[in-house]
Amino acid sequence: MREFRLATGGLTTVNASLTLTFVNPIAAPNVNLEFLRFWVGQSLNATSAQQRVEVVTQVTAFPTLVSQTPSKLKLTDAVSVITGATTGAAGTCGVNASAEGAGAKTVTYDDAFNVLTGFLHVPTLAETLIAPAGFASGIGLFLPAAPVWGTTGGSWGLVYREV
Amino acid sequence: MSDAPIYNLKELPFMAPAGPHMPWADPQVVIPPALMIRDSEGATWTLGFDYDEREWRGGKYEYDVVRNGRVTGAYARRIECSVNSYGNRVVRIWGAEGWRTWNGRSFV
Repeated sequence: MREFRLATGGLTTVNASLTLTFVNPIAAPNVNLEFLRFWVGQSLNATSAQQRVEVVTQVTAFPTLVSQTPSKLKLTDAVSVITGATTGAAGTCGVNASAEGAGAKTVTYDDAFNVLTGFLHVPTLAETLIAPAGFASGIGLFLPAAPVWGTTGGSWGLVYREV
Repeated sequence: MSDAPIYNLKELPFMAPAGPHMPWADPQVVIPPALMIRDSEGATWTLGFDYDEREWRGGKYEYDVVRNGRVTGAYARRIECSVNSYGNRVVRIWGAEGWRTWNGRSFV
């Protein structure tokens, strides 16, 4: 199956809670999205500290993002049905939100991690989050508090599969 | 190892060596839920993205083990920073072949 990575590093973020990555399923009928991995890391802060992180769904209005095209994990695959955009609209994705949008967020996974070692969530087969085509919400990797390492030095991403 | 495939460190900067300002990982830090660990040589360890989907569907989810962005040839579901019986910090992996320890060149 086709798998795609939306990985980001080297960007300057806002110094507040923010959506790191946002993927909104495409309108039905089309492929569903199964989320296989989420990660957050940083390389700037050498002091032990805890950072909260959440995987959320968000209805419209969506965050304002930096457009980024998903990269395919298998070189011979076609490109993803999800395309980069700044709006977070259906069928698009983006990173590094500059504004969160008014849409309500619902937490589907909540955790905290030490910033020295980062956060990696690799759900098992029974735990993966599946967002069907036509889903009214987008899926976001969200920091509910400002990153303790500051506005630079962070890296994060997710992997999804089209099913 | 020097000829091993390397990940795109610009896209995945967490795989790169972070520099001497970052401390070693504490013993018993495990990937996942940690993203990466730094061993006593300053090398960064993490899980890559290569895996066998058929095995994954059978519950054997293992990914390639990556050191400083280069694949080691080993696959595992856990990477652990541990202390051996001599008091030295070592990197161990857990997978279908059980626990294996990094000897500086490969996992044995």
